[in-house]
Parts: sequence; C-alpha cells; structure tokens
Amino acid sequence: MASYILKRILSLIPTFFGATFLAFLIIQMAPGDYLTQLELDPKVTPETIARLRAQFGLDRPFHEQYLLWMHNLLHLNLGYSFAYQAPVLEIVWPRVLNSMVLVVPSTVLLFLIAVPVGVYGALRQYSLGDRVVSFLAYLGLAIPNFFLALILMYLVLQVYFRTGVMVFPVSGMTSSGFEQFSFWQKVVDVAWHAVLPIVVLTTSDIAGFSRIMRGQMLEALSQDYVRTARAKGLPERVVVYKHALRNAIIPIVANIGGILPTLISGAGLVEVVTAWPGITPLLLDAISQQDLYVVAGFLTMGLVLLMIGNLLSDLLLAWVDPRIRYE
Amino acid sequence: MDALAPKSESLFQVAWAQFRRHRLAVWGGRILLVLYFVAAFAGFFSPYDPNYYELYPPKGHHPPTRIHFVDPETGRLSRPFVYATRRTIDPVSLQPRYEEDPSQGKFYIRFFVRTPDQPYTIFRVFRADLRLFGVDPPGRIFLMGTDNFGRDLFSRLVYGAQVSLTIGILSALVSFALGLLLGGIAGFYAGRPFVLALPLRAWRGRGLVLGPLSWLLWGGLAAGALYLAWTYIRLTGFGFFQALALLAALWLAGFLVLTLPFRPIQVDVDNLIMRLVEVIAAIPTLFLLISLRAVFPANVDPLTTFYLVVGLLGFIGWGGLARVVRGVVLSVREQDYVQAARALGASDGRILARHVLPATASYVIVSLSLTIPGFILAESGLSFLGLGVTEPYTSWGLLLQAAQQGGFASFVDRPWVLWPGFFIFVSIMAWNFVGDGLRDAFDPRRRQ
Amino acid sequence: MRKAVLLVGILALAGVASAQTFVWPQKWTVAKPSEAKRGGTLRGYTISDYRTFNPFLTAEANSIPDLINPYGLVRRDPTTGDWIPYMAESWTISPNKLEITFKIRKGMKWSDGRPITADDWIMTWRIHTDKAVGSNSYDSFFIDGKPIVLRKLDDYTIRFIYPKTDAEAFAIASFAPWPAHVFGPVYQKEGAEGIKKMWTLNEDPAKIVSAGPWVVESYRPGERVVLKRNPSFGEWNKDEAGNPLPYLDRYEIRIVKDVNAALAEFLAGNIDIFNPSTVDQISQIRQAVQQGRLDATIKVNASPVASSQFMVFNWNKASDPFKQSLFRSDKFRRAMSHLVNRQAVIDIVYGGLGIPMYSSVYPVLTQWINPKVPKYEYDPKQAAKLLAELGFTKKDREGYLVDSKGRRIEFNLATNAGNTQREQIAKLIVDEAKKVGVKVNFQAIDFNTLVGQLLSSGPDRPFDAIIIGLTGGGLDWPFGSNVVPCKGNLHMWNKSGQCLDPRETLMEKLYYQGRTELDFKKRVEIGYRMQEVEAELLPVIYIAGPNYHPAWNNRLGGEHPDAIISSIWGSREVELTFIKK
Repeated sequence: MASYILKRILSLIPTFFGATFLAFLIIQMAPGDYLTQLELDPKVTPETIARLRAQFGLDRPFHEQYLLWMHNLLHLNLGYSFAYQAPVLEIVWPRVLNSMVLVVPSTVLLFLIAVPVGVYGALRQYSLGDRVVSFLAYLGLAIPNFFLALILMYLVLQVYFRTGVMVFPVSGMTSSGFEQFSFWQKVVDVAWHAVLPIVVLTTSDIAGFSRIMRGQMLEALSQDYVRTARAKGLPERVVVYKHALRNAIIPIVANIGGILPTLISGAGLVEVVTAWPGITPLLLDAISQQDLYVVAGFLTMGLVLLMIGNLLSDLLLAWVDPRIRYE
Repeated sequence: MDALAPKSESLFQVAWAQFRRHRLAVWGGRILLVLYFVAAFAGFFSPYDPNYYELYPPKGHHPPTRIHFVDPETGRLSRPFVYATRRTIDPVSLQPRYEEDPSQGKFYIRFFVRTPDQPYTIFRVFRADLRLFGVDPPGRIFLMGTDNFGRDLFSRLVYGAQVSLTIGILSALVSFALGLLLGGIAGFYAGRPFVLALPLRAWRGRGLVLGPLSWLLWGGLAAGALYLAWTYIRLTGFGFFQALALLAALWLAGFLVLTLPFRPIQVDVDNLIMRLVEVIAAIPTLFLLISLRAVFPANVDPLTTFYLVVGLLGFIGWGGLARVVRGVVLSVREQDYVQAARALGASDGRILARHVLPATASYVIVSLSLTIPGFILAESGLSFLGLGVTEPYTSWGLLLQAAQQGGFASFVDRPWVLWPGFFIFVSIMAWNFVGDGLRDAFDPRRRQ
Repeated sequence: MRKAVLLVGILALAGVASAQTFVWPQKWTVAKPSEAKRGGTLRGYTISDYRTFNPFLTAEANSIPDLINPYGLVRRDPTTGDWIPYMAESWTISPNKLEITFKIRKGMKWSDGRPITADDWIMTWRIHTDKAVGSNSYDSFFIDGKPIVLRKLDDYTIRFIYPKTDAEAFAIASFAPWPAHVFGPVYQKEGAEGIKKMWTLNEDPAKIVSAGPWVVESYRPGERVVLKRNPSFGEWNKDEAGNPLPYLDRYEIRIVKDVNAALAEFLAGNIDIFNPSTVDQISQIRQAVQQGRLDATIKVNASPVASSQFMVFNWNKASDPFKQSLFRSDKFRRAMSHLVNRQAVIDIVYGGLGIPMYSSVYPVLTQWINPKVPKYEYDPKQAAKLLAELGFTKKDREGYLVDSKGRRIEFNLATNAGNTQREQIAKLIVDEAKKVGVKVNFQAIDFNTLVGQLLSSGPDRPFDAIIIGLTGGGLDWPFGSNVVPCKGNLHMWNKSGQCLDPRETLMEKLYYQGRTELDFKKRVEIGYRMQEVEAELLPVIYIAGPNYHPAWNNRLGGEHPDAIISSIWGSREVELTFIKK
C-alpha cells in the first residue's frame, strides 16, 4: 500500500506541472496585462506604466515569468496581487473561508437529501412519487442558478413589502452592526444570510445527484447477491439497506475525495448575484484585470486539493471495495 | 421452421421500442421537435424581424398586446383583433405606459401575411417573406411585449431559439468528436504503446526518415529541459530546487543519450490522453471558461463569436465523454469477435471503425443527450456574464441577461421579459427526459 | 468683576480658538445646526472591494485613504466653486506667481494626538514623488515634466514652488497630508520598499492614523469597512454653532458587487445612500416611495454627469488611404455627427433622463460651456447632402452609398464589451447610418484590447472608430493635459505625434495659454474660444450622457441645498450629515 501511494504521488507530479503550466499559459495568453487599464487614466504617463511593468516583472518573456512563479510556489509563496499589493494567500484565504460557509452545508444537505431521494426513486421506480420527485429535481436543475437566486430575492422582497417581515436577507453575509454582536449572534446572523444562497445551490445539484444515486441503487438491486438474499428469505428492509444500499453507495463515498476541490471553488455566480463575499467575485475581478498571481495561486490551491482528493478517493475505494486490490 | 423463429431485432430497434414506452421521454421528444422546428423556420413563425424597431413613436417596454375575441359593440364572438396603443410616461415611475386606443379602430389578426419590407431567409439560402400571422400597421402584435429598443420579444425568442438550441447540439458534437476520437484512441491503444524513437538498428526503409526525426524530437526536448533548468538557475541562483531541476534535466538528457541509439522509446498514448483529461478537469470549469474566453477578445464578427462559444464549450466538455468511450473501448477490445477480426488480419483502423465504435454508440447517444442541456445552461451562464453571443444575434441567455439587468423592475413592471427563462427551462427538461428515456431504453436490465 | 474677567478670558480663548478652527458654513447644508443630532451610523455602499489602506498605493477612486482623510491645505467651496483655505489658514502668492506660501492652521492634530505640521506635507510629497513607490499621484506633482518643489519654511509654513504659472496650481496644493511620524521613519530606514509594505488591509485598524473626519474601526474583506469618528477632527472642525464635527458616530460602507443587490438593500432600508443610474432603478425607488414602502428622497435629473462620451475616428490609417482621407475630412465627420440621433440615445439608453453632448467640456460645468458654438445635430438629410458633396451620390444594390469608383462608405465601430449602454448607443448609430446608406460594422471588444488600440501611436493604427468616454480632470481648466496637445497620450484621433490640422495647432496653443492664465474670466474666454475651434474641427463626435440622480433615505439629514446638488459636489458633506430618527 505504501509503495502504491508513493507511486501515485510521483505520477501526480507531471500532472501538477502540466496543469499549472496550462493555467499560467491561458491567463498570459489574454492580450495586455494588469497595467493596461491604467493606460486610459489621463493622469498616468506612459513612462510610469513602463516602470511599473518592469517592477511587476510583466515585461519578461513567458517562460521566465513561469519559472519565477514556480520557484516562489515551491517555497510556498503564492506571490503578490497587483491590484491589492498584498500576498495572494492573505487575500484569497478569507474569501475561500466565506465560500465554504455556503458550499459545505450545501454539500452536506445534498447528501442528506439526494441519497434518500435516489433510494426512494429506485425502490418505487416509475411510481407517482418517483415521478413527482424527479420532476421537482429536474426543475431545480433546469433553472439557471443565478436566475433562481434573483427570483427568490424578489419573492422575499415581495413578502417584506406586503407584511413588513424580512424572512431572509436579500444579500450579503452580515448585517449592519455585525461588529458589535456577541459570538453566537454573529453565528446566527451569518447563518440567516446563508439560507437563500444555500437553497439555490442545493436545489440545482439535487437532480443530478439523486439520479446517480437512483441509478446506482437500481444497479445494486439487480445484482445476483440481492436475488440470493431475497431467496434466503431475508426481510426486504435488510436486503435493501444492509446489502444493496451499502454496495450502491461505495462509488459515491469513494468519490468524496473529488469534493475536496469543490469546497474551495466557491459557489459560482450565486455569490455574485447575492453579493456574498466569496471567492468567485474575487476571481472574476482578478481574471478581468489580469491579476496574474491571484488567479494562478488560486488555481494551484484547487489543483493540490484535487490531487489529494483523488488520492483519497482511490485509497477509500481500495479499502472499501474488496474486489479492488493494488500491489 | 424459419417462419416460426421471431425476427431478430437490432439493438436500435429494441431501444426504440423501449423508448416509446417511456411516456415522459416521448413527451420530451415531442416538445423538442416542436421547438427545433419552430427555430428552423423562425422567420415564418415570428411576426417581425427580430432587430426591427421604430423610433417615432418609440415602442420600448411595450407590454404583450391583448387579443380580443369579443366585439365590444355587439358583445358577440368575433375574429380575434387588437387595438393600436398610445404611449404616455407614468409620472411616478417615469416608465412608458401603453394604453389601448380604440379610436384608431380594430386591427384583425391576419394569417399567412406577406411582409415585403421585412424579408427573411431560411437556412441563409432561401428568401421568403411569408409569415404565419400579423396585423396591419399602425396596429402591432407583440405577443410577449418588447424590449427597451422596441423590438418584438416573441420574434427575438424564436430567433434566439436558433442560437440556444443549436449551441447545445453543436457544442455537444464538438465534445463528441473530440471525446470519441481521443477516448477511442486511448482505450484502443491502452497497454499497446507507440514507438516514438527508433534505435539505430531499425533505421531501414521508413526508419531512415522517422529515425533521425524522432532523434530530433527527443533531442529538442532534452535541450529544452536543459535550457529551462539553466534559465531557472540564472534567474534565482543555485538552491535546493534549482539543483533538483538541473539534475532532472541532466537525467533526462543522459537517459536519452544512453537509450536512443539502442532501444526504442515507447509512449503510452492512453496514459498521455488521460493525463490531459485530468489536467483540464483539474481547473474549475467556470474559471477555465472565462479565462479562455478572455484570450480571444478581438472578435471579428458576431458569427465568429458564436462559433468560438461553441468551440469553447465543446472543448471544456470532452473529458467526460472521452473517459466513457475509453472505458467501453477497453472492455469491447477484449471481446471474442474483436480478437477474431484481429486474428483474421484486419487493420487497427478497420477494427476501430467497424467493431469497436459501434459498440460505444449507445453510451455515446445517452451521454450526448445528457450533456446537451448542460451546454444550453452553460451558454446562458456565459451570456449572463456578457461573454456569449453578441448582437445582432440573440440567444435565450442574452435575453435573460437583459431581463436581469433591469433588476427588480423586470419582475414588477415587465414580467414578460422572463419568458426566455421559461423556455430554457422547458428545453433542458425535455432533453433530460429524452436522455433518461434513451438511457433506460438502451439498458437491457430496465426492459419493460 | 470676576465674571467680566471670565468673560474676557473666554472671549480671548474663543478668539484664539476661532483662528484655529474651520467653521463649516451652514449654507452648505439645508439643516440648521440646532436641528443636527449627534450620533448614529451612516450606511453607504461600494461596488468594488478595497485594495489597501496605503495612500501611496491606491489606484482607485473612493479608496479608504480618500474617505478617511480627504482634504489638504485647500478645498473648494461648493456654493461658489472657489478654493478656500482649509488646513491652511491663509496663503500668499509671490509677485512672479510662481510661489505660493501657505500658513498652516495651528492646533490641528492627527488621530493619535500628534500635531499636524509642515513636515507631514513634505514627507507625503517626497513619498508620492519617489518613483520606486509607484504612486498614482506621481504625475500630478510635475508640470510638463518639471517638478513642483515644496519647501518647509517653519513648522507651520510651507512654500510651493512651481516651474511655471499654472491655473491648476491650487488643485495640486489640495493633496492630503499623511503622518510623517508614521511613514517617515519607515521611509528613512527602508525607503520605497518599506512604504509599499505598510498599511495593507491586514493592518490593525488602530494604526491607521488620519487627519480627516474618520478613522478605521474595522474591515471585513469583501464585506464592509466601518469608520468611526476621529475625535481630533472635531477639535478644529466645527459647525456654525460651535459643535464639533462630524455628527455621526460611524460611517459604515458595505461592499455589494451587484447593483441590483445594492438597490434591493436600499429599498429594504439597509443602505442610506444610493445613486441610481438607470430609469429602472429610479422607477423602483419612486414607486417604493409613493407606495409608502420606503421613506426616501430622490432628486431626478439633479445635474448631468461629470464625464464625456464620444465616437472617435482614427486619422492614422496609412494602410487604407481611402478610409484615412475619409476620416480626416471635415465633411465626413460632420455628416457622422448629423447621423447620431442623440434624442433617441437619451430616450432608449437613458430612459429619457440624459443630456446631449457637443463638446469636450462636461455638460455639468455650466460656467465653462460655450452656448454659441455650432452643433451638428441629428439631421439625416444634411448628412446625406454632405456625403453627396464628398462624391457619394449613388447607392449600390444593397442600398449603401458608393462614389464614382464604386467604393462604399464602410467602417468598423467598436466599444468595450460588457458596457450595455455603449453597445446600445453603437446599435443606434449602426441602424441610423444604414438608413442613409453608410455601412457600419459593430464589434464589442474587450476593454484592454480597446484601450491598446486607442492609445497606439504611429502612422497606421488598428481601428476605424471607437465609442468611449473620459472622466476626471480639473475644474480650473477643464481641458485634458494629455488630450489637447498633439503629442498627448490621449490625443486619440491623431497619434502620429504631430499636429496634422492647423486647428489642432491652434487648440494646443490656446490650451497652454489657458493653462497659464491665472485670471478666471480671461481663462473662461480662452476656453470659449477653444470650444469654437473644437466645434469647427470636430475631432471627435460627442454623443450624449446620463444625468445624476442622488437618492437617500430620509433618516439622513444635512444634505446640500438643491442649488449645489450635482455630480461635482455630490448630495451632501458627510461631515455635516446626521441621523434624524
């Protein structure tokens, strides 16, 4: 097992370099650089811009920039943001934490809801309940995330206008006067703000996930060992939950490792629409301003997490599924 | 006794019969057919050119025209008609308000009207000016109201369907082509590596050309690695990582020097392609999409933007399909009939084309129909960010973006601008049902 | 007797104090000092997150340093537009007009209690003008490449020495000072690198020292920044009743990236100030007010905005001599101006709430706008006539004008992708041009690329026409220093490096004349003359722009009187704002 892990880590190295190189390349390929936006400022002379460009190292050829950046990376230094003039990690990490406030509960909710829904769908295949639930799940999938967020915000506002009660806040993560709250008040405040975005996030993912679960369950239920178990006279509940479900859930649990990078990838456009201070608005800004090291640094973090996650998945799978064994 | 044996059915015939039993899928299919048909003949189904607007008087933010079926004087049913409208500005909200103006008379809805001043083309080839319905000016029939310029939203919706629906399919096809090609190659050549360098003793015949070429290739690679290591040291001095890099480059050069003349170098294509998939999958989709889009800013024209969006979406999506194809190919490759073909001397290409690829057909069809809705959604997301198709084209995503920019005014004053969202939703649902139906149809265990 | 002594003593103190205090005039606000209540929090918002607390590194408008410490030796009086002494008590100008000596107000203190002296201005100036620091304000301390020198005469006297007379001399003197006792030691020991590391967003807010109305209480990245009252400010800034300013306890600014979300917050009463830019937003606010859901005030069309918007043609297109001669032709540009339906732009793009533009002077600068210049207003017939005079009399099969050699009038029009309003303006121009027979191909181009094209120089540049706008600039001389001179970086239509048209040369000459003319009335006359030449030359075609509509929640008091609410002065002085309820 140990040699397997070592081999896997070694084989990840080319992937790591490949992906970082690709990411760096793509950002660099966009024309101009961070300083181009300063060029339209009447107060700034071209000499100043040229000087800043040399200062930031943006006038060097591509491979030199990549090597310098990689060198810093190996020393665990993600570089400096041009826009914020501060280390990338300092800027990115708080926003990643904010995003996690949305992503982690939504992922947990996803599992808690999608698994039973999928199992129910498999057990009562094609029944009215299954169809209704599938339909609702598809509803969540088919509406664009950002649009659903806007609709919900509007509904909340309408309720507020009619009754004066603000059921959930329409945007942001904290209320006015947050600084003066006690610890528990702060927790409740953030949770209250998070409800709407989490609802939007979860609903759109439930459809796909519950379908997968349903498929897995169906697959497991059609296996021979289930027939055997039934023939043995075991109660249906035991057959379903102890045998079928356990086997059905194996690949899903094993893929939990793949969730690791999504934890830091943020909640996407929902964050933008609800003004949640997560990683997505920061990155969108950084990409459009070509704040090179912020984007590259963030992608690297995601990459490392992905590789760790994949490794974890492989190990979990090997451990849990007796059919798979590695030398 | 042949007469009694049941006619053997091909996989597709069985699947089709199964599909027809899946009611939701059938309805999904019907809805899609209608949508695509209307989109194909967009000019016929829309009463106005999607880019037509008037300035005197302006018709921006006009609500949907009310169609009357009852004659006000007699109180009896009559042919459907509309009234012309008068424009005023609401003193509080400062928005335009349109009221029906019966004094200008009734405008009956006419069917199969000709609009010679607004001709259209079918598939860009045939010119025509026949439209399903319309009213005489100054009456207007805005089934879904107008946008802020005064352009009929129903017409724009129908033309937008052309873009949104086809982007879904075209991007899926691009993914499909890439995924099939690369996944097929990966699966087929898994465990059978290519030879990418010929030792001296094999420099015969074709080897006389390929040999030196391959040496050049590997030599260049080694030189590149050494150059990078040297640049690294030049830029940052000599430390632990720099030594590592130098050692790696030297090891690569040494390895090549020692093995190139004597042994062939093999490259596992499967490994390479799966690595590429991994690398692309490692980057979050949204950021990859936006970053790639930012690389191509100088748009020559909106049509190129359209193809660019198609290409981008397709490029980002091929990884999943490639994995699926590879898996299928790997399993099919070892089947008896393939072994037999190989024993009989069939070439790799023939085996791939005639035996392996058809086996992947069912998986590919299902995958495709499940990824198309994702592409439709992705296009609407791109357009929301302003990175999708541009004027004069319109797509449902772009129409939604305009709706969203109005903010809450859209919902309160002009709820009709939200129709495109409904259509995105319907088409995605329909594709999902069809995809589900196809998947259940091709799965022998789910036969009903 | 004792009472009299006491009274005299108090009066004496008051006399001393009044020399040391700046009294905020009551005419700057609608409220009387007796109405103002102390305390409360003003809740504002911003679209983009803050980058740094460091005043030498900020590159954005409305950065935190600008908010907490906005003023310098002088500031403008919004009722007259004139410069008045603020942190300076008075100033004298030397006879040769090249030196201004300021007497600094005594008794002012930084938020940490240390006195504000001339050293602070000198140190701030030194750091701004250190190339290695990379300050955005670097260029503002130089006139035509020659530096402005500051000299400390004593702790409370400072002299500005200008290389030449300049109408914008005072504007330069209004830069905000920063504490020499904080930045000085670091600068002396570590130089520019040390300065660049200071006051990042992770800095303890208590260490951010300011001379202005606020200090930083807290900052949550991507969320909000909370400023609290700087007690030292109130010692020398008072209202007419002698109360220390600001009235507010706190000023909280939320970061809301999406304008719709910000509007939602304003409608819900969570944000106090919101300036809508589209009719949809205005209509939402007005409806909410009328239906009683929101108690707020909105001033629709308070003033035009302080920016310009125009279409610029490229005069340097050596690779296409036909187009080059067309773009350089007066008649062509006038015809294009006749094709811009400014009223339609205002109606459709700005919902009827905008103003047409015909000159480079922002429409809000009413004292500078010359009303008598010729305007080439929307007139398609006149456009067709001018184009016919250029030889385009026939139309080809697709309906486009061609000349005797069969060449069409066709050009590419670009603007920055993502700016919906500019894209709509472009669409109106394209459609209008088509009616007359001119073929315009519209492209939405990424901002970076667009800027690159616009600012490229040489005889052959890669664009035909671009729609873009400019903001910024001064109130003393509203013509851009990099726009008017032929060698200027923003002389966007002609970047060959030389004046191609005698009127360009004339405008450049007038520009420098006005820049060095210190008498306001004479300067305005020169400005009028410049606009006449500009209108005749029509280097770029001005289109139209939106208006400024401030809105605020009625719990706020102390806004500007209507006469001075404008895009230049804003809707209020924050220092005079208070919470009514």
